Amino acid sequence: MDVHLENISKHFGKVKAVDDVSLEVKSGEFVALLGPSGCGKTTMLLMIAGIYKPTAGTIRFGERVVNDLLPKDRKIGMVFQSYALYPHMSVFENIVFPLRLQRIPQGEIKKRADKMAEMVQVQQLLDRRPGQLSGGQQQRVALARALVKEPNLLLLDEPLSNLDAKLRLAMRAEIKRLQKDLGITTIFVTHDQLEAMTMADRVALLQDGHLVAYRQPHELYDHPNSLFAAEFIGSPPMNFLNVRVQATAGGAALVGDGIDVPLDGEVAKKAAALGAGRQVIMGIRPEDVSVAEEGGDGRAEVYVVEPLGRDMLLDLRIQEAPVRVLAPPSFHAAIGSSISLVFDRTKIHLFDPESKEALLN
Amino acid sequence: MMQRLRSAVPYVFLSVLTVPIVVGYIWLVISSVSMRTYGLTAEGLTLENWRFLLEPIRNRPSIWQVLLSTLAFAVPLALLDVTISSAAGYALSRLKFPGRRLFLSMTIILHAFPSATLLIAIFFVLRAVHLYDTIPGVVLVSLSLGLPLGIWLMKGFYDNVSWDVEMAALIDGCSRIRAWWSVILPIIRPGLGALLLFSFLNGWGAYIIPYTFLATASIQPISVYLQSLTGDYTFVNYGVVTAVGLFQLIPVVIFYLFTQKYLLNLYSGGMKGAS
Repeated sequence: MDVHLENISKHFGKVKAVDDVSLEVKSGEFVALLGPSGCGKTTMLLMIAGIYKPTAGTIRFGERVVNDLLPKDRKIGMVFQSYALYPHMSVFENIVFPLRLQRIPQGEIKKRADKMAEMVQVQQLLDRRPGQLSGGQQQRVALARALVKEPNLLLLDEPLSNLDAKLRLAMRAEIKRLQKDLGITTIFVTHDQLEAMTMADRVALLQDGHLVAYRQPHELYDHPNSLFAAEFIGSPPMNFLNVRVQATAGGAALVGDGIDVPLDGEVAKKAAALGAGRQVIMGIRPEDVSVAEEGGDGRAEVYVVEPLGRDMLLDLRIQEAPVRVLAPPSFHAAIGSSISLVFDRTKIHLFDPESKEALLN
Repeated sequence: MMQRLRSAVPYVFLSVLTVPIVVGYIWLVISSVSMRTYGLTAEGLTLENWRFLLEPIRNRPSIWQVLLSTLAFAVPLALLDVTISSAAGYALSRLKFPGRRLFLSMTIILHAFPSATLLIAIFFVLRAVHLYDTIPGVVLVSLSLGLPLGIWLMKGFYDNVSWDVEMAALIDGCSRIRAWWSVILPIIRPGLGALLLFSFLNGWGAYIIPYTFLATASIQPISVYLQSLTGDYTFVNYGVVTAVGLFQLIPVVIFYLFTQKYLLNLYSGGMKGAS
């Protein structure tokens, strides 16, 4: 079942929690609503669930407009951040609660409950109360409860936030695999860009109630269309340096305090087209900057070196501007020493300082 | 050493405060089995004072009739209190309706209202609806005066239940009412139990309302019956008075002993200490 949001807005008094958002989720797709706290993503999820009614706009499930449809009639399952299991019922009762409400006969109930319990691996826990379960177990029970009525749409609100790092890794894979096996249209909300990138087929990036971008994870990563997207996606985050475009014999160069990046080919032409002397923000990811022997595009002073095991994270300063670089694990440099940097020309992003839009896409 | 002394201070303080009360209770027990007492010394141990259990005291209904009247008053009061409070508390906690703010503030104001000032007005109202000198009449009056507190307490309990659980119920397939009945009420069951007990105990010991609005001895509860024993113009037999008093007191003490855990829920305003 596909989901269409058309010009959806939600106002709480004067506050515009969601402002004119339109997007479409294809049947069987796994979509993430990503953004910082307060960007409206949970509000959107709750509107899709039917708990909130949109102030303006239409929500369609397939062909049907569902704005006024009660949550219980929407054939959806939802897993809350707090799991929201019913504390006075056993795990078994929690899972079958939706079926009891539909007056499904006892035999069928038992069958489906067993199937669900096996799918999420909670067969041993059926007689326990939610209070006796660990966080990971509670989440799996919540998932079982959401899926037991074989809904058309699965909604997840920050599903991994309450789990410890190791469990998060495991559940990420579990949930993604489950979704692929079941083929159920799924929308989840998260503030963690890593979660969104690793699990979703497409990511909807939201800021202050607006839809900033709606692309596949790798597109968002490689070609962010705004400063906000560029800085939100990717960890360690993208570096930003203030430079200006300079016309040169070879085409163009980006020049700033302590930086001189000569460009050639296509990139140079595009940069030159922006106008000589124009101030822009140059974005480059830590993994796209390398340490050079001599020369390079600029010299930086080592502020701190963080060994990550797999890489070495260098915290540098180009004059006053902070720059992070991912170097091979064998790299060594003393604090305060000076090193040369080279920027990968194919990975340079330029942004307009006022509009914050990407300039080279 | 200092630590021990310091932790003993609250106990010393509380003991000093409770001594008069404990002494009072001791006298109560002693007096109920004596002909006469000098201070705490009994003179003439006897069980005569407890004769009221077997035969009615002159011109009064039997104690068992009185007990029945008391139950007929306290039980409906408690049940109605819990029923109405749990419904109203839910509405105040969860629903948006015009006048909600006003209703909330009225609830607090009415709770603090001195009910004694309304006695005369209530008399006229009861008479107008032909409920003066009836059990339903006094139940209604006590209920009205006790509801503000009950509603406020219930609202507090509902406020402590997370919205998530209710939303989950709605998505799982509940209507609003079904969610309230099958999911939320069971979660606040300890609170309901606590209010039920609290309300019942209030009804058991209620005095002013039944005294003012019940004239027929056969339907007066035990507190009024007790008062009639002390209000005699003849010599007051404190032995009998204290025996009847103990009769009223013992169920309360037993109740409190076994249900303290639940009643503490009310006082602490939370849901702790209950399964």
